[in-house]
Amino acid sequence: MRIALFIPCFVEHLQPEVGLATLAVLRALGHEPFVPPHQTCCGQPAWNMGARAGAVTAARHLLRVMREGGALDADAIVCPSASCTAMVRCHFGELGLPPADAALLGELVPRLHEFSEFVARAHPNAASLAQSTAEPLRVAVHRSCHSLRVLGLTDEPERLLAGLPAIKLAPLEHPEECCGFGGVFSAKLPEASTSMADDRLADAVRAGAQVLTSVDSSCLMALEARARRTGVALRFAHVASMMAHAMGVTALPSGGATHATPACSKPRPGTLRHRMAEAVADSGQRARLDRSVGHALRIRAERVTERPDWEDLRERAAAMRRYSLGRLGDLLEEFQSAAEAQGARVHYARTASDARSLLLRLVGDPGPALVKSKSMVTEEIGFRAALEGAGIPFLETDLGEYIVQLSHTTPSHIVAPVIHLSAEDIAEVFRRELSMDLPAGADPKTISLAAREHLRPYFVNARLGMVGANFLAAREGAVVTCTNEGNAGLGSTIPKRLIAVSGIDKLNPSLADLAAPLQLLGSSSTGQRLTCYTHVFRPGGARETDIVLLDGGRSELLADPELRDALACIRCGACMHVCPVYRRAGGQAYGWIYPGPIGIILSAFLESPEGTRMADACSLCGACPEICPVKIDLPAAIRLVRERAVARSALARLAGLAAARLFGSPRLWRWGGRGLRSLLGRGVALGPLRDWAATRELPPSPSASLSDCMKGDDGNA
Amino acid sequence: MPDSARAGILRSLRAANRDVAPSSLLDPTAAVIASAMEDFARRFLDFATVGGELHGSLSHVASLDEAADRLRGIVGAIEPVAVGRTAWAQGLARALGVADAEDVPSDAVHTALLECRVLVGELGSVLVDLADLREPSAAFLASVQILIATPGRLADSLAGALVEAANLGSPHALLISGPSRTADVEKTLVCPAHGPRETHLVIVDEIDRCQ
Repeated sequence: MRIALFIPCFVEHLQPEVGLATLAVLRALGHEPFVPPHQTCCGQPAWNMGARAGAVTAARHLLRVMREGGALDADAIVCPSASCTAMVRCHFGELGLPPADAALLGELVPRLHEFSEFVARAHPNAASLAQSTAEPLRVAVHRSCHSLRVLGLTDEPERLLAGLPAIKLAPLEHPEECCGFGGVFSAKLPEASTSMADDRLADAVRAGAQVLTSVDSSCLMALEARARRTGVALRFAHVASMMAHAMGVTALPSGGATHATPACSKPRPGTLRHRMAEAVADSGQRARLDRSVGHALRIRAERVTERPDWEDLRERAAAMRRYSLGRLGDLLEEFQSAAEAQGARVHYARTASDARSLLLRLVGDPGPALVKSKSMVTEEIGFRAALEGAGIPFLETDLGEYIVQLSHTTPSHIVAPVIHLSAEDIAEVFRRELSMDLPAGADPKTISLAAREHLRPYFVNARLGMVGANFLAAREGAVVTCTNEGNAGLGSTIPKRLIAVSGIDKLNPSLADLAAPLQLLGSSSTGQRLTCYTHVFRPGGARETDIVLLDGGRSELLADPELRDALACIRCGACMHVCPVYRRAGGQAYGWIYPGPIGIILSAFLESPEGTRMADACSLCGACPEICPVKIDLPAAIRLVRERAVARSALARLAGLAAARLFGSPRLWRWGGRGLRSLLGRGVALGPLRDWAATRELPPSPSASLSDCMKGDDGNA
Repeated sequence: MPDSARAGILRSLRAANRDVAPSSLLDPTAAVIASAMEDFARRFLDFATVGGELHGSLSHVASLDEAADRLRGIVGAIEPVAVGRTAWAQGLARALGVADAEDVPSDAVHTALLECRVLVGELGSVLVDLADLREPSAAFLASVQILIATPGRLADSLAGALVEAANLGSPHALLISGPSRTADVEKTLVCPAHGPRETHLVIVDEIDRCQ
């Protein structure tokens, strides 16, 4: 077969040996590979950082040089990078290309294959070409995020390597976890990024691997640079290089000498990077997060396994939530009419400040104490501080929230507020704040029972209760609140006054429509088929009821056609459980009460002090949409948030235009590549690369690019 | 409609149904009902198991007297008790020889006895109306919840229970899925949290004795 090679920019400038190995393997398999000239970059770095203009220029250039270089006449186009293949196959279509380019894309995509995907399909017995005299090696395979979650590849690299006699696979414990590269993420939050890389390296060392391989050179480059910086004795080679080595056609890259690294800048206090750096350095918190989140994921998996209709449940919930968002205005009116007809007073707050003032007025003198159940909206509007400022006595009654109140901090998770604290941390808070006589080493049961005894009198004497809402049912005018502890039950049945607080996004047509979301909420957040108590509060009886509905930026988000899906969120927190950044840093490091992937999107619209800055805290690994019960495409939304931020920043726009100029000009691209190799070869890293390079140590730069190496080669078209 | 007419119609309807076994909300074939009840029971007991310990029970019995015997063996002390106003709750209270503790403040109540409006087969949860109690708070203040239901209350899906919750029109409809619990400290499940420590369910086959 005549095969056109689509060469990633990393390979062209920094890892030409991967390109040479790809050519060698394909030739050994009987193909005629060639490289269409003048390739630059697929534009993925620009796309991921939100610089659309740069990505569009790169895409148009790539399509043009592929056509002019004969790629569309070839039998196949092969790329030794899953992430670049994914960019073309899955994201070029989102760029809004002109019709002529879109038509070219339509011709190119069916021919395009990632290297391991192509070889595994076309040559399932490729291993038979291997030479048994090759150096025997124990090899671990890092499955890159793009190969797994964008291209949908599974074990292609393992299948290729498993048959090679000189290779013994060393299975990793977590082969599917992100390496922490993530382009701009690793430059902006180097401490969080290297924490992820260190875990991957430790996994490989535990597996007894001598070589770590992958289908993505960018992951390998970042991991290798980190390994060199931390002294981890591993070798790194692309899958193509591994195959070429086993076939005896090229040698494995040797690594080479080290060079000096620049000093890492200190994170500025108060910044996202500073908070993330401090959090990832707290090994105790990391261990607790891992244990808790791991447990939540395991029991969620049990729920998924027992429900053959799990995907159907997700579909139904996703459809219902989007239907509700499309009718939010009507549902709001219907809800108000139904609730008022039953005797409730319904109030609206446009902003967080309005909500605080309104709630303070409604609370008035709450008697002995306001007993408050868990409500993320009250956290969102800073109501706890407002109550404290007004001198109004109140108690958070959810155990986790009570601990947060006593420790004067903020929740680190939307469902499990003190997921980051140990039992001893909590016991110490109780001793200090409540003078409780808890023994050293008090276990969770002792602590929980002590809280029950302490709070019971407050419940019994309460005259005013406050609850949050998981859902609102418009037809019935009902507030639906899910709890496990029974605190919302006590706080709503004992006091004669109840205030329910909710965001307007929680509206749904009727109670019957909540069957799927309620089950998904329980299963996704805590692994329960349903939370212990699902309260359906309707006004009436002996209770006076006020319902406060907050906009707080939600209507603005609803008006955004590309991002409104985020309002479908049911606040289960599952996206946090699979987020490698959240799992290392915890929720408080984000600087706002909604952390993790969904928090990043909400932060850009709701009244968050962090705004779009939180968007840096994502490596775009793509794990979150797989777990989101209502199928929100969180990485796409996070990328869009970045794009909006770029559009507002003159400097970022300028950088995007410069990138576009570079991607569109092969000559500038070659000069740029030479300059980069020269600087990196001397250990010099500039601008955003400085901190990246300071936390890693790049191998020596190659003296020549792939194009230079191929001069005179038949494959250099 | 005058109250007397409403009462007359209700009497007629009850009389007409007196000798008819309550049909299930499911496809009413015996095999389907038995299998769904089995699934429900298993899942109810899953909910009642917290941290490896059973904090409740499920008994499927033929009569209220048998239910009372069974509960006495399982629960031990029951009084003071808050009893729901429905006929089945009252009937079970009579069989147990206890009465609603009208003079006892709800925070001193040991047991809350309530009728289930729906048993959710696919989950093991039950729907109750706390407005059945003189003081709805007793359902959470009590250490022990005793719930009673007939097999005819079995619905296969949560959607069915939510429709019933909507129809109740009560300010206090509640789906219960086991005794209260928390996992806020190190994700370790602990029972109880603020609410009951035990949830017992009796399903009584006896037809209409309480109507």
